[in-house]
Order: sequence, then structure tokens, then C-alpha cells
Amino acid sequence: MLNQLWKFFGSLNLTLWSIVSTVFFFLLGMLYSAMNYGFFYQLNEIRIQDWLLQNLIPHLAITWWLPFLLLSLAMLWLNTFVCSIDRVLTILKMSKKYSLRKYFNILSPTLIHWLFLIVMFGHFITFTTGEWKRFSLKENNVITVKKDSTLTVKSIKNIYYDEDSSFKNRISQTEVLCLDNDNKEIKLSYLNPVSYKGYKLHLNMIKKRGAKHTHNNSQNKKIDINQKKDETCNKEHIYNIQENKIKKERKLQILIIKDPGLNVTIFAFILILVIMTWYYIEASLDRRNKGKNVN
Amino acid sequence: MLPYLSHFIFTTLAFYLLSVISLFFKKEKFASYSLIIGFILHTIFIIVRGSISGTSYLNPTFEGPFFIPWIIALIAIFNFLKENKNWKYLLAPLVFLSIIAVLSPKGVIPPTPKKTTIAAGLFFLTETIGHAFFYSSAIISSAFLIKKTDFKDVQIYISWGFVFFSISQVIGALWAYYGWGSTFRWSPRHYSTASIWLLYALYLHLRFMSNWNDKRKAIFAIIIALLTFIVSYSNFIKELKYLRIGG
Repeated sequence: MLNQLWKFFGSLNLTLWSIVSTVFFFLLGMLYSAMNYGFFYQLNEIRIQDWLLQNLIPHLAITWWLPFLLLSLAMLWLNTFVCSIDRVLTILKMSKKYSLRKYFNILSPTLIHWLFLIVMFGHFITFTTGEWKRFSLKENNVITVKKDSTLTVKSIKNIYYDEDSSFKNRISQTEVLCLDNDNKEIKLSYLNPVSYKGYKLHLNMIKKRGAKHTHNNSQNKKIDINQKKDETCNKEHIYNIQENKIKKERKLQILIIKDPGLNVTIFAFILILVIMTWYYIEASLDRRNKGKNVN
Repeated sequence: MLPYLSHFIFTTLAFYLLSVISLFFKKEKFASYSLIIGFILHTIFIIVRGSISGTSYLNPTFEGPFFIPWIIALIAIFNFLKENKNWKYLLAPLVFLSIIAVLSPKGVIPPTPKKTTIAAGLFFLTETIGHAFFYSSAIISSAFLIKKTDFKDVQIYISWGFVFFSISQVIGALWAYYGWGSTFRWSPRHYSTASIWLLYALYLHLRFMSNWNDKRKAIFAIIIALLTFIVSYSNFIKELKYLRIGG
């Protein structure tokens, strides 16, 4: 019985169908999310189980696909896990037949599968245990990072592109200087997250005022299904030169994130990058050598 | 030079078309020269367009509608030099995607501060190379189905496409972390790229399934390339509404 279950979960047919169903639900999710962007955006800043408890049943017409997606992903994870164990057991028996380089080459795809499992696990930890808070940034604002730990915004400075650039008068960077309780300086800017007392502090910008996005406690957020918000790569218009226009649209924020899964995910991602590149270079060298031998 | 930017891509398309017409009349040598001249003009276009901003902002250089056909032209030339007959088939997607490039706005979308990182440039570079390989694999698959050509290049193109696309996903995840605080966002863009990645991962696993012969694999490669095309070019269509500078 156990043997049959193991075979079922390690079968390639299950790989096929779990990938097909995952893709199907991802594509459905893509459509639903595109039509209800602000609603699904909340998933990025609330634990997934809390979001599902609040929204699954009340908005079932547009949320029904999400449990199926999670189920498909879980099936894919289990399938990859069983396949990887099977493969490792086979490869371990071959260790004495090959040179270390060749052996590592054979082992590489399996390592990538293991790292893929770790990436998925890291994301699972992030989505189920993460903490997210957002605060508006204005000079002299006081931000509570955690109990007995606050930051005071001292200055906000926009840096613009050079006059000789086509992007002149557009913001190229924003620097925010904060002071903590111990008068320690914390400097925030885009793309430069700061580690602070177990949290990561990110500088962020949103398009609309949307008061519902500045809650202090992400677990108690109310969802506004009609809320529109754009975090796509191309929101250049909110960094427009005309200050009077900006005041209506642009809102500088600090994102305070505690993400226990992050380090695991990034570590696995970087290893995948290295091993995959190495593997394919080796494979193509191998092919070339075989070609030469044939000639 | 900027006012002439549109002329450059238009002339590029003319040479690519000339290459196809030459092949039709069995003038293979002339077709290859046209392809190479078109490629040189295309390269100049991409360099000039990339430098519109006067900053070190890389993203416009690797913008899909212009860069994907450039990569396909490069793959075609590489195949021609290697005396691989597949270069002729690659002219079909090359011309088609170059027509889209001609119709696309040539200006540059001004960057948000979160876009001005080397990670963003590398992400777009590797992602578009991945897509170009995927489209190439689809056209070679079509040639296999219609003309019974060699199928082995499909596997090679998909493997390289998958490597570049995977690298783009890892770089993209790191960029997403630095910019937005997490490596995966619950957003349509991430769903679509995850879907493409999974489908090509599935393709690479099909060789272990005995009931998947080359014909079925070729059909599958065409379907997933079409899906990739629809998803990625619908993103480009969405970008049409954004303000652009130059071009």
C-alpha cells in the first residue's frame, strides 16, 4: 500500500498533471487578478491563511481558484520531493563509477530539484508567517517598527536626473533620513532595504492616497474590493515632474517586513543560478566534444 | 539621429523581408546578405534607442518588441554560419516580430527609481533571450511537422531558452525583493511568468515519458510558445498607454 502510494506520488504522470493544473489555475488567477488588482494585491501584505479566512467565502466568485492553485502547488511539491528522493537513491549507487566532475554533473539536475523544493518551502514560510506594515512617510512622522522601537522621519530628499538627460526633472532616487530611539541614523532609499531589529525596511511609493493601505496592523486589514492600486513596473507617471500633480497622486511609504522565509528562498535561488549555469555549460561542452569525436 | 530612429527599424524590416523574398526565388546567398545587413541596421537601432536617455539606464536596450527579433536574427545568422538549414525557417518569426517592432512606439518609457538597477537590465536581457529561443523552438517544431526536418534543435533551443528564462526569474526575484520586499508577488505578471517557466520545465521532462514522441512534443512546443507570445505581447500592449520620451 505504502509502496503504491510512493509510486503514485513519484510518477511522471502526476508531474504532468500537477504542472498542467498549476498553470491552469495560475492563468485563471492572472485573469481574476488583472480584473481585481487592488483586491488581490492585499495578498502580498497579509498572511495567506488570514486572507483566505476573510475573503474566500465572501468573494467566492473571484477567489475560488486560489485554493485549487495552492492544492496543485502542494501536489507538485510532493511529487518533486518523491521523485528527487528516488533519483538521489539511484545516483548514490553510481558514485564510484564516475570522476567527481562527471558525478557532480549527473547530480546537478537533482540538486536543482531539491533547491526548487527549498524555494517553494521558503515562499510557503513567507506567505504563512510573514509580517507586513506600511506607514506614510512625511517629515517628523513617528513610525512604530515594534514595541518600544520607533523611527522619526527627519528629512526626505528627492534626487533628480541631470539637466542634460532626457529624464531631466524626474526623480531618480529619494533619500529618507530617520532617527531611532537611540538617535541612530537610518537612511532609506529605493532598492536599498535596511535591516533593523529583525525587520527589513523598504522605501515604497504608491499612486493613490488610499487610506486603507496605511494600516498599522496588517492582520486586521479590511479589504476594499474596488480599490485600485498600481505597483507595476511602469508607473512612471507618479514620478512626474509637476509637483502640484504629484501631491494628488504620489505617496511615499515605508514598508516594514518580517519575512522568516526570505533568506532560505534567496539562498536557494542563488544556488540554482550557479548550478544551472554550470550544468548547461558543461552539457554543451560535452555535446561539442562528442561532435568532435564523431568527426 | 533620433528623428530617424523609426526609419532604421523600417529599413531593417525591409532587409529581412528581402531575405525572405530572395529565399523564395532560391537566391540563398543574397538572402543571407540581406539578413546580415538587416541585422547590422537592427543593432544600430537598438544601440541608438538604448542611449536616448543619455543615462546608463539599460532597460530600453532590451525592450522585448525590439530585442526579441534581434536575438532571433542572431540565432539565424549563427545557424547560417554553422551551415544549419534551420536559419531559413527562423526568418518567418523574425519578419513577423519585426513588423510588430515597426508598429511599436519607439520612445523610451521614463524609469521609476526602482527600475534603475542593473538587476532590472539583466532581468529584461535574459527574459527576452529566453523568449526568443522559445519562439525559435516553435518555428523549428513547425518545420519538423510540415517539412520533416531534424527535431534535435528544438530540444537545444528549449534548453537554452529555459536556462536564460530561469536566470531571468532568479534575477527578477532578487530585484523584486530589493524593490518591493518579496521575491514573489501575488500579481498577474508573476503568475504569467511562473506559468511559462512551469510549462517549459514540463517540456524538458517529456523526454522521460515514453508515450510522448517527437510529433507530440513538437505540437506541445508550438502551443506553449504561442501562450508565451500571447502573455508577453499582451504586456507590451498594456505599455502602449505609458508616456514615452524620444523616438
